[in-house]
Amino acid sequence: MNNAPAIFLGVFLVFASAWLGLIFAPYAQLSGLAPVVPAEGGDAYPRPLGGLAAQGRVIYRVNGCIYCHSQQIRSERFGTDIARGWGPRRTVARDYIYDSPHLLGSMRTGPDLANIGARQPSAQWHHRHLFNPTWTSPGSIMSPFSFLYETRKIVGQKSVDALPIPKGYPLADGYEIVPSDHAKALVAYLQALDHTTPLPEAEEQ
Amino acid sequence: MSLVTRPPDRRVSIDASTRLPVLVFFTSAVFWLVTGSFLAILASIKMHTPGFLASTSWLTFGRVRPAHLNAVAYGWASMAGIGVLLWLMARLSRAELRYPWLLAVAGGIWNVGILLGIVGILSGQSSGIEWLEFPPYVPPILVAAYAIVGVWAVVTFRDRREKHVYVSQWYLFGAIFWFPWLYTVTNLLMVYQPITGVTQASVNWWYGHNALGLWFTPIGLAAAYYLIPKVIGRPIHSYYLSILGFWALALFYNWNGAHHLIGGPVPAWLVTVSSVASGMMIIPVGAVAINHHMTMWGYFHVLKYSPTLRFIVFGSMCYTAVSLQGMSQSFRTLNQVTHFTHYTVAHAHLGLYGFFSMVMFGCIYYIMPRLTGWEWASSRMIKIHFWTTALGIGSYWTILTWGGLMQGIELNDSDLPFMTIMKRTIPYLWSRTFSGVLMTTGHLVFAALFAMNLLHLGERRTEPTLLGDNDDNVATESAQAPPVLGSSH
Amino acid sequence: MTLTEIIWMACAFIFGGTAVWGLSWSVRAGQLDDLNGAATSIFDDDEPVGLRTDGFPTGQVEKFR
Ligand code: HEC
Repeated sequence: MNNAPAIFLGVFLVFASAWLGLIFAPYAQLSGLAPVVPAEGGDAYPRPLGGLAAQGRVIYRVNGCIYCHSQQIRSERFGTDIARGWGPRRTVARDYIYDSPHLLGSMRTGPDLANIGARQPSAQWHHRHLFNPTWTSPGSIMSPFSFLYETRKIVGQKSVDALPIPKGYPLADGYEIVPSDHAKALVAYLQALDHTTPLPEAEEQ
Repeated sequence: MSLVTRPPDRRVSIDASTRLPVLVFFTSAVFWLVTGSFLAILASIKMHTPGFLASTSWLTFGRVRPAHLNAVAYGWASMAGIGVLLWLMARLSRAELRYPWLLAVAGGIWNVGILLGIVGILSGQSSGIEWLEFPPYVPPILVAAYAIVGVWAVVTFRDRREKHVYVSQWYLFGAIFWFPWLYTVTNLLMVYQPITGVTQASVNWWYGHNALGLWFTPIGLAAAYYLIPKVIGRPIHSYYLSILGFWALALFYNWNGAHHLIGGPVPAWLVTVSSVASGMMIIPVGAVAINHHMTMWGYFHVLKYSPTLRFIVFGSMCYTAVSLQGMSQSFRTLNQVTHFTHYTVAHAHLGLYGFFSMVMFGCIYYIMPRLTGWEWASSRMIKIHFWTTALGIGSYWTILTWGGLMQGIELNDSDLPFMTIMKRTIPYLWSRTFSGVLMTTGHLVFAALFAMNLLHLGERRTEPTLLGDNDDNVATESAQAPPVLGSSH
Repeated sequence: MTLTEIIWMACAFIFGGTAVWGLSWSVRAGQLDDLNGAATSIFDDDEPVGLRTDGFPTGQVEKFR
């Protein structure tokens, strides 16, 4: 009486059903979502990321920003995301149709970033913040990303994108701190994070 | 009743057949446990002192944290789990493992995968998918290693001499079949042929949650269902409940994952279904809780003597606690507060550490002497191990649960600036580092003890393996010593 | 009926059907016939019910209290 195959099949099938329910069903429901063109004309939304921003998304991913930042705005009736000014509306499935891997996040050691591009458009602010978060946000416990920046000797003119250095920071005379390509891409991505365009299905009665 | 119906060394020879692979898996597991603990402390320090070792990209928080998770989940917990699985499967089937060296090779391959994965994450190639951060070249390596393990477990089962399929075996089969499904399907859908957007998030949490509930949990429960009765010498309280619990777990657990997305941009029905299924978890959890408690009833004093029992019963209690907590977290009212906070972190550690890791420690204490033929060198060290880890996880959970609740309540008060809330979490983060140091101390002691056992260090013991009060009818497992039969009971 | 609903139904059938089937196998195979005996299947003459199989090690170490 070797019923091993029967057991195996049973376990297999139980598993398969939840797979259908939890994976296939949402997929069937959501995979048809397409960008919408606003009634008053203008660009379709959402749009795929541009080249530099897409590279920046990789930097965001491999440096683990998701372990401290979410990218999802919850409904007015669930938490205070909207009241905190993190976004004008809740985010919905359509907002993410181009995202892979998804970066929804599960932790808010830092604020939600779904709309950081709209909230903080300044590249220089982002560079100073990333280089040393306490320069812009005293007391911040965000990790510094100074390794994305180069300290180098000024040759001729000071670079246009050199970071303004706060008083007291130990930087030798004749040196400047400039963003690396990675830092520039990352900031381009942050600036592109903007889910403020109204969507009909995001409206709440 | 005849005294001996089969050669008394049968069990010993079955145990011996598992020696090589199980030792390979255990030794690697202990190595990854220690590595993972140091990564944990590093990550924890960085949360309150962000400037600590911050100038290299390899050691930035966002890389160290997933390196920690993967080292402990796939290195420590999975390897210890596989070791226990192989040993248990052989014992319960009453059949020797065939070609054990091949399984040792599987252990080697698995280690290569983990090593490449951790280095990959630290060097900036993380996939960015929680619970699956290993770069894309790692999963095939792990799958290859796992295939050997899975096939071997099945082969051993087919060789079985024991007619009855004990409840632990059901759980082991669950783990054996669910894990490859979960792991390959998720990798396919998220890494190799990625779907996009929130469907991916749903797959992600289906995996993340099931890895805990359908891979680690069944192995942990299988071990508890075997070792609790075995150590105290009393059959489990209600076999019926145990089988019921298994089926209820198989039915409901699978549907739970999406409750990680409550409030998120996913279809409402998905989250509702998940929350309902989470509520149904009361059946399997209740079955296990009642069963383990009732089996122990009247035998709690054995906790004083048996390291195995003490770790496993501690873990088993954490299982009940973490499951009830998880159910409560899937209710919207509580979730609204605790989502995105340290509360969830505390919950995850209660599951993977308080429950699973503690059960694994208990198993290793039971299994190792039977494989190495060498007793644990020092009961004082075992005691240190137990108390540091038990107090460590206890304080960790308490601190972060409370801190997370506060954080969540404050986040839901939109008049309170974010920076204020963030600063108020810092004392909790410091306490977390303290708890982490406590647990790591325990791990170092455990690792030393483990190495001493493996290398036969310390004094050779001629006494029977076990002790307790001498009037207790404890017996030795050693091949030479004649079996001591239970007296009046 | 929408596609989703059909899938739902299918799931429910597979889901419930499998559970019933799996349990019925256990019954047919006699796995659930003797639950008391089943619980003792991990014991044998060598390590019978009533025999404790673990404790703190002896040797140079003091007794655990
Ligand atoms: C250790 C956790 C942590 C990590 C990792 C982290 N952050 Fe932060 N982040 C914070 C905290 C805390 C704040 C709030 C204080 C501040 O502004 O610095 C914050 C704030 C921010 C802000 C400003 C948000 C606002 O509303 O003003 C941006 C932008 C940001 N982080 C981007 C990033 C990026 C990009 C990464 C990855 C390269 C990252 N963070 C990684 C914790 C973290």
